[in-house]
Amino acid sequence: MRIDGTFSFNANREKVWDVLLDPEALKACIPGCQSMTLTGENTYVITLTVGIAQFKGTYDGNVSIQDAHRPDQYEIHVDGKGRPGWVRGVGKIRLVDAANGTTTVEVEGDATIGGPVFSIGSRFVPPAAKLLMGQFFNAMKKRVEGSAS
Amino acid sequence: MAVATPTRAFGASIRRREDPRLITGRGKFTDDIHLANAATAMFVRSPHGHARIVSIDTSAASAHPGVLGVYTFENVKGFISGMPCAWPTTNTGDTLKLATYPPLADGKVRYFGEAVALVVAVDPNTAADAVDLVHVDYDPLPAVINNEAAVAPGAPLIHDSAPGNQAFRWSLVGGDTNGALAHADVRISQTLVNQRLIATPLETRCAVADYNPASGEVTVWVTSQNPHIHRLLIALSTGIPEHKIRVIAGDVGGGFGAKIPYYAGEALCIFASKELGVPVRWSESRSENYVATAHGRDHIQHIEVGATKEGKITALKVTAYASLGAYPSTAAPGVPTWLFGCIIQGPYDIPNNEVHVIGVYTNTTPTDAYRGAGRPEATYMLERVIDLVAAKVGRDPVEVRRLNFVKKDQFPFKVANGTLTYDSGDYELALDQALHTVDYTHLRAWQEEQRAAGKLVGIGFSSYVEICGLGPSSAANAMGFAGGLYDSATIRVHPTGKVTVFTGVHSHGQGHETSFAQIVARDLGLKVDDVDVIHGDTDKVQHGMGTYGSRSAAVGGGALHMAGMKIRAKAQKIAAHLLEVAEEDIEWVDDAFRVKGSPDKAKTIPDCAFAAYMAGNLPAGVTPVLEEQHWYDPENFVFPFGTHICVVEVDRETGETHIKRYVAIDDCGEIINPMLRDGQVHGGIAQGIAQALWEEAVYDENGQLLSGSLMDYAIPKASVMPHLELGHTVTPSPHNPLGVKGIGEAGTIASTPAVVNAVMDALSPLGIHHIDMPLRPAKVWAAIDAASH
Amino acid sequence: MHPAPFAYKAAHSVEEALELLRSHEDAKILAGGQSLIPALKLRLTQPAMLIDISKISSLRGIRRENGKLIIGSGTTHREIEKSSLVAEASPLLASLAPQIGDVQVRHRGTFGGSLAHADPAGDWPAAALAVDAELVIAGAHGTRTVHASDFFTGMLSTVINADELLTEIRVPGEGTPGIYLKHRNAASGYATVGVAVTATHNHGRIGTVSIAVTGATPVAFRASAAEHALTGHAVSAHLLDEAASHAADGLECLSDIHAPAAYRAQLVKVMVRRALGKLLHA
Ligand SMILES: Cc1cc2nc3c(=O)[nH]c(=O)nc-3n(C[C@H](O)[C@H](O)[C@H](O)COP(=O)(O)OP(=O)(O)OC[C@H]3O[C@@H](n4cnc5c(N)ncnc54)[C@H](O)[C@@H]3O)c2cc1C
Repeated sequence: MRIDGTFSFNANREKVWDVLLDPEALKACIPGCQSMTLTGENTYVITLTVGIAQFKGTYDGNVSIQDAHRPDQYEIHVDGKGRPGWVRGVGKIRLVDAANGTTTVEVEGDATIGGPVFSIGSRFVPPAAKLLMGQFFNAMKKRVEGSAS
Repeated sequence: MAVATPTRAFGASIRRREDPRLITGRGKFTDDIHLANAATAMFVRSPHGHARIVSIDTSAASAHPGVLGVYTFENVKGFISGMPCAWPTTNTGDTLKLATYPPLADGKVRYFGEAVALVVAVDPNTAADAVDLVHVDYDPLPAVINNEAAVAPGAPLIHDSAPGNQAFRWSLVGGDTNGALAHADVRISQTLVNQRLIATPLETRCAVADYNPASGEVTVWVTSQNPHIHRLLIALSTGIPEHKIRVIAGDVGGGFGAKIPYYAGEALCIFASKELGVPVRWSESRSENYVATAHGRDHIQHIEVGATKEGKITALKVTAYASLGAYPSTAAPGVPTWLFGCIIQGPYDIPNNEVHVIGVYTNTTPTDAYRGAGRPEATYMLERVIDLVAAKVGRDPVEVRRLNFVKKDQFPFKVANGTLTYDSGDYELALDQALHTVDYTHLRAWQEEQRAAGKLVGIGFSSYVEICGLGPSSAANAMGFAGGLYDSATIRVHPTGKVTVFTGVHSHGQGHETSFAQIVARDLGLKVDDVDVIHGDTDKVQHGMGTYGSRSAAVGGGALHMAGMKIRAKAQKIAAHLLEVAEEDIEWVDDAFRVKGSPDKAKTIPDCAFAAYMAGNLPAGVTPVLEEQHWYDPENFVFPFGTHICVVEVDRETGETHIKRYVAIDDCGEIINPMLRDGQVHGGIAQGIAQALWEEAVYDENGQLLSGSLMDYAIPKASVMPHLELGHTVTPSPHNPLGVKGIGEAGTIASTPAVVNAVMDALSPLGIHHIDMPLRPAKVWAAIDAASH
Repeated sequence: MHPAPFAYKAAHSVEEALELLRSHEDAKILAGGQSLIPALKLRLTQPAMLIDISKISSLRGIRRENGKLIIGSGTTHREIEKSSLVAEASPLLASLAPQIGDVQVRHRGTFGGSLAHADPAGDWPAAALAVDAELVIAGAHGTRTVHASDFFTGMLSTVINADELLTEIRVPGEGTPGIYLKHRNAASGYATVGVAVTATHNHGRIGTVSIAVTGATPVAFRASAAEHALTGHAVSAHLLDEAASHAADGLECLSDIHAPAAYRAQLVKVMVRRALGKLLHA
């Protein structure tokens, strides 16, 4: 499943980069993040309770940041499982200079999802993924722009 | 004594006698069996299509209050280590690789939904809670879903014992196909996908096992189409002696082939009952049924055809990649081979033909027989081929069918590959009757007008012949089926002349309690209501092979008729004795034995039965009681045939197909009950239309079943069915004493290609010649859209 | 298919239901159960408590007040389908109701439940948007009224807070011609795409038009650009073609195994055109 998106931030790339990769910011902005512990360089163990409306599930997994080139691009690797199913994915994130000192963040995600819930509710999954990604970046945007002022 | 009035039971549209019970909730299905102290079994199932099991932690589940036991493969393998395959098909040389089919995953999961652990608890809610507490750590592996990709180099290996994921290679060759192809006026190559289907019986599968440690006996209630086969396979796979096993398949809510196999869930209920000392029940949910019960079809076929300019097919070569799924289910290897390949030329005289089947393993639910089993795959292929040839040579598909038909004076007709001899038929008669019903000339004129007005309307044909009435046993054995294909009947005439019949075939919707009573009522001159039919209990019924392959009437009915004739023979001796005439001086007329020349002097079967039980006044050498038994092994298969015509309109803007007319002319030989026959045809056509238009088991590339519930798997609804115009011809089969041929699968076999051919005819002005099933609106619209750009 | 454990309580008044919502953590309203029960059985949702509102008689019924139809949130689809009041006052609702699920589902499922659930493929959201329904929501501090255009916040999401209850829906009731066209998913019977359209015309000129679409996107929407292109113009086949052909412009449609996004976009255009044609006879 492809999950793509573009988000604009009212700050320069370095600033956006620093917030996007700040563990505290990650923890605060990942939707439903219950806990997030650093286990190695750029690698975290994470517990999430996420979903749409009342349809939530708890997932345990690993998140790692790889191939990071400040302030241009990085990859985020995710791997998690819970009662509703499992997910594995990679998001390639690029930070591009935009007009007036703003930054455009481009996301190209590729996720594999499975498990019993996917098998009976696959129609909800892609829009849900997109929604969660939007929630994440909008929260980040608030953080970036909030601390910029 | 009064003489019974003739009943005319045979051939009458008698209402189903089982229905009052079934439609008022008084049926007894497996899930209705409630035994004291029964525990509930549930399975932990794989969320992956292919993965190594790193670890299974059952401790939390085991400790959960109300949980009686949690088991993995290691725990159960001593009881049952593998599910047996009962049809290790022959004609595969040394290529057959039957992978071990463990009852619970052994170190690796090979399909989404494969059972990994068994949880048994005091009630269903507790069991469901405990299932969530079993923690399995998986190491996902790449999966392979596509049948051709599975055998391509570098594909992920599913079983170490089956290199290249190949289960077998199987071929039949008749004539000189390559030679004929080389000399053909026209040649066509086409690839066809016969998609994977899910049987979806209304009643999901269910089992209740009650093991008695004191006697060593086990009673198993199970949703089975063939209780004696189940008993045999349970005995062979678990070592419980066969005479200690009682299998009961009472009311069964539809099977469609998916309840032929013997499944791990059933075996493990027995295991758990033995282990825990209480009865254990297991009942599938619908989404569980979609992963745990055998799927059907799933072929990719490459076809090469050679024909003359007139459209006479001279050569047909088919290479089919057929998926067994992840493991070899009970009858699976026989379905895409013998049941498909033998009938490859259908109702046509194609002197040179070859069929090659590559059986493959994929990371999918195991497949097995599904209504029609093999024959729909052949018929769909052939009927698409006929239309493609007709288009290529520019002739009416009706004329191309006629040109290629086996003619009525060619029977008995031996097919080119030598495997089958068709019994009887008049294929043109059925075609002509169908053409007459639709008023073909006017229909084509109407189509021209509609086309001129911009409408996409099409007319589709499907002519078929199928193999039914599976036996004989000699053929079954030669094909590698590990069992005979005879069947059995016991007729017990009680002292009052009422009758109980025990049949070795099984009804799971077909209506045997009605139609079989009609056979006996005719043979013995009784009222239908005086005959009860018992099936489905191995402790009550003599050994029989169950129901599949439209065999009940031809084989089970044959056995019943032969047993009836034994009753008549014995009763005739008694009647003659009671009438004080020689046996030669009486005859069976109007439902009684009558003295020749003075028909009023008569004795009925009840008269004779009473005497047989009184037993004091019997002729010399005649034993008391009136009860007979017969095992009937038919001399050949039977070959029903017919022609269906479908008229459709395709919505150009939405791609939706609307069926305007549907005509079915079927020949199933003698008709026992026209209403039941029609019911079988209705249901069959519904399923066949559904394959053409809606149904498809969809997996993603990781082996996730995306059509995992009725929200996404589109079974036919009554509200979308067209009106069906049914007709028939009657060509009695010479191969069985009733002259019947079988009608359970005909509708399914014939309707799929009729619908697809109609849609392709509708789209032909746009230059579209083929779209693979199901013809979902989105797919059809995309083809229309692409064609108009 | 066994839900996780939960407590159950039937409320007999709106106040009691609200009180239960307030006093219980993680409680959920149970109306007809036609969406909630399947989700419970699949353990997709595991609330601690269900508050059954199906026994609250004040939530049920249809009446006309000041030219508006007032429909209780607990009114079943079937009651709407069979109501002569609805047939007269809102042809759009009357045309939609019989297209939901099957008779059994319609006898249990409720108007309010369907709107509160906000399934992307649900039918009622399109009608509520098209008629600009007012949704009355009761909470601890009295009631508030929300326009349909503000009610749906996303897939399966609305402005109803966890301690609130949708009590009634107010629909204009002057009999404006309207129609609902639905392309049914062959498996589920839900809308692949559904379009709800109302339109008036006078002496060959279009008066007001509203077009709402469900199924195509994560949440139902009004096709405002198409509406604007039509309002006040003379009816012609060309105009309707033109307006409908842009009805899917800029949409990011849903995609599934039955219908890829491009097909949904096509259905939006075709069905909007057909609905307009039926209402405006062109
Ligand atoms: C087989 C089947 C086919 C169906 N086909 C269709 C179809 O074609 N089209 C379609 O639109 N729908 C369809 N449905 C869904 C049906 O219309 C449901 O009735 C509807 O979506 C939910 O209404 P309900 O009363 O059953 O609500 P419930 O299932 O009881 O509740 C649904 C959700 O809404 C909340 N809720 C309910 N009432 C209120 C309220 N008054 N205030 C606040 N929250 C509330 C609940 O807490 C829950 O979260 C189908 C359902 C089934 C089972």
